[in-house]
Amino acid sequence: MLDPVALHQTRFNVPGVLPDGRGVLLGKQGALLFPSVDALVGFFRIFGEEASLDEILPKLRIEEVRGQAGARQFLVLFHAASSYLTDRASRIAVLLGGLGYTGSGKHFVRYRDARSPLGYDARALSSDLGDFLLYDERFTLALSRVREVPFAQLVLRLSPRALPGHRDPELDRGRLWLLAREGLARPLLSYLWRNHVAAFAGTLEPTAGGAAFVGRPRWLLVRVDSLPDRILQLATDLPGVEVYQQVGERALVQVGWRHPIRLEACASIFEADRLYVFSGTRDAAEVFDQPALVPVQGLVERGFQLDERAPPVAQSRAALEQISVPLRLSPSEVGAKVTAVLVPWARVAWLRKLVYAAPQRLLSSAKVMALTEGLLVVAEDGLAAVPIGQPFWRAAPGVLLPVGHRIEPAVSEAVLSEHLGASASRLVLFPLPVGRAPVGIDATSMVPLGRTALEAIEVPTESASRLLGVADRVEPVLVQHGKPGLFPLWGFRSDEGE
Amino acid sequence: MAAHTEGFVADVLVPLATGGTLTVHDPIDADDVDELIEHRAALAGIAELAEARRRIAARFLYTAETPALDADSIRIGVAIHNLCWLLVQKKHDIGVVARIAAYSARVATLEPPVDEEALCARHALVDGMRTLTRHDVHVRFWAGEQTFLGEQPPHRLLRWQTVRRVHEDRTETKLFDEALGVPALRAIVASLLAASPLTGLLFPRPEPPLELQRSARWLATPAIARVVADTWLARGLPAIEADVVEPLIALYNVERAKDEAAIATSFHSHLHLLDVLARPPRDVEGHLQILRGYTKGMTRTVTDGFGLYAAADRVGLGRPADLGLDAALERNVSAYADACAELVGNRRVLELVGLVSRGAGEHVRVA
Repeated sequence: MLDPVALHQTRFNVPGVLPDGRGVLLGKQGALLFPSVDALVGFFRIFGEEASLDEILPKLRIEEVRGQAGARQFLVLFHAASSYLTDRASRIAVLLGGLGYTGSGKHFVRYRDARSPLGYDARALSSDLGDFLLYDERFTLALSRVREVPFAQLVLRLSPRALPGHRDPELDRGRLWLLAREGLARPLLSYLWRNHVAAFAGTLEPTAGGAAFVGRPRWLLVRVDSLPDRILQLATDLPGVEVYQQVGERALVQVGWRHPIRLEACASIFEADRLYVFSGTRDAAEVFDQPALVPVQGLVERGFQLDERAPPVAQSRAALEQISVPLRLSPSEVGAKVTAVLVPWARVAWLRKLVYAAPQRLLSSAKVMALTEGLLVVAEDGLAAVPIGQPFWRAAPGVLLPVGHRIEPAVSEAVLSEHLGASASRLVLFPLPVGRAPVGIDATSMVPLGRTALEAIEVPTESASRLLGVADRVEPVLVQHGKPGLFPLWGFRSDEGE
Repeated sequence: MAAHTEGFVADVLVPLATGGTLTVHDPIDADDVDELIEHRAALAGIAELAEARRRIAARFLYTAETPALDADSIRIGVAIHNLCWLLVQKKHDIGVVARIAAYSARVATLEPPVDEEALCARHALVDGMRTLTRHDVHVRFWAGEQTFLGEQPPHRLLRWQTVRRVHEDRTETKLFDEALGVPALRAIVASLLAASPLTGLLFPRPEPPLELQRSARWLATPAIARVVADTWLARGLPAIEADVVEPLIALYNVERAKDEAAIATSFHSHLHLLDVLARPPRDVEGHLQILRGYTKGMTRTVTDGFGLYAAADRVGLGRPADLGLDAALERNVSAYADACAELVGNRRVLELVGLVSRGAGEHVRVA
């Protein structure tokens, strides 16, 4: 009945099929024949686990068909966008006892398998009557259409299945919803509010339709961001309250239950402004308008009175009395870290000797400036290595106080610096004895101690090649002739053996 | 010791090593040479000469020792000194002057250097020969004219310039080129270059041609080869091909020089690889574009240089064995070899393959 397709074969008996880029025979459509509803649902379940059903949904058709023997079967037709997609669908169908075909219109030929990797072609077209003709290796099936089963109907009419065990391994605590009867709304919200559960609530109205006098219960819907275990357990066991998990963007499935088809994989069948609720305990699938959710806090707090408090009393602004006291130095046990030293000119010779012993860090960080009283040496890192002169410590940024003294009143460093106009570029020094006026010093004119420590020395410049001991360039050799001797050629011996 | 050889080191050898003024005295004969060799330890200027030669050798060998003044150095100095003396003589092929020329060529005929240090020590002296320059003065006056070669004219000849209508022409003569023009003196230059293979290697010229049979073995020494490659590439690959390809092809036709031919071919390929690596990687067309720019307006010899690389690459002398460790590098070099082959044409490459195979003998590996 079928011939294996050869590589580079161009002519085929089945209409509407062509080899794709890999050489696999492919029609416009893929067809999967399932013997039962279980196999049909199982196919969508497994396909949804592996990939998104949205790949095949746009042109998906599910036909209930009947063969010549009268058995009811299901034929799934989808757009065969590529042989990779058809490979996956055919593999899953075979796994569930179905068969995979490819073709277009009414003629479908068996899709490729391990025995013929490039597919099959029918030896001759069948003239049997039927809406679909499926060519297989040993038979040709003529199928008649009974009715079309919309996929959305398949999804909405399938009942959720209870999960075995107590815990759902896929339960996402961050996407839980509570559905409560209208009468339980206030106690439930108050309970959540008292237990500091962040939640948003709204009411659900069933969509219009049906008889006018049929009772349509209203529901309270609560979205909770993170539900503690004890409240989850309580809500699960509480009659009138159901706990749901959000699946995809617009579907809720009751916790402890699972829809036979993976709903995340077929998001396109759900309308945008609707909420689809699949209840397991009530065995119902309900469609609601998308609710408007508000924070629970706004729905719980109540009992406000218009005259809870007396009217506010206006306070007038009073005049501020000026409080100002002069700064003064007072002896105190402060100033552990010496930041600056004022060396009297008489002791500068000692400082010169100290420079030889000073570490490199001190020479690079310390700065000096000549004042009337002596040489001021400042180092932010500390000057403990200089044991001569009057030591100062840093009371505030740019403010230098003699070690053993502090400023009164004890204002903050920022206030003190601002009051004295001290900054990184202007130092303010309080010299001893106590009571002398502070001295302002332009810090930008200070020079690093390391730069002033060395006397001038003359260093001869050597070219690089000389330092390495390599001849730098070839000087030309100028030949000049000296005075010839008397009879220069007399007795010239040209042979060394003569 | 004769009066004209007392200052031999300071007057001749030191200027050759350091540059400056070389003073020529009377020709030095075999007796003088024996005497110089015998008393060489007592000659003035030995320390200065040794330091100057060490500095030149240090360009090649970082740990060069200070060379001692040996008999070979004295012979080289004598040959250059006599060459300068001979250059002011009018006739070189008769009488005692011819004998002096023959002796000078003979005295510079030395055994090959024993090691790199001896090679560099000889080069330190012979290299000065390339820059030998002489200032000549031609004086014309109302009663006649007179030429002074390497001498200053006497002051009396230049006096009263206006009255005596004195006219003075000063010219600079390159003695190396002048010596090559006289057959008797050319033999001295050839002997000196043969005694110092490194000098010829560093500065190949069309005339006298590079003598690769004697000097190729030094290209297998990394320290020497490194400086030679640097000097050659500083001149540019096309310029150097013009002076190297003919000696290389001549070497292939020499019997019993297969080792030297293989070394010289490998070094020639090494130059090409260095030149290729100095540019970003290209495909065959990109390399070909550069090669056409190189050889535009050049002689066939230069083009043959690139063909020689393609031929060497086909017989296994074109690239080191471990080049394949870097696939991208190997692709770039293969593209370059293909571009070289396309530049000269496959027929010429096959001819050159035969030439290289005959010259390098058992060193050839045909894939």
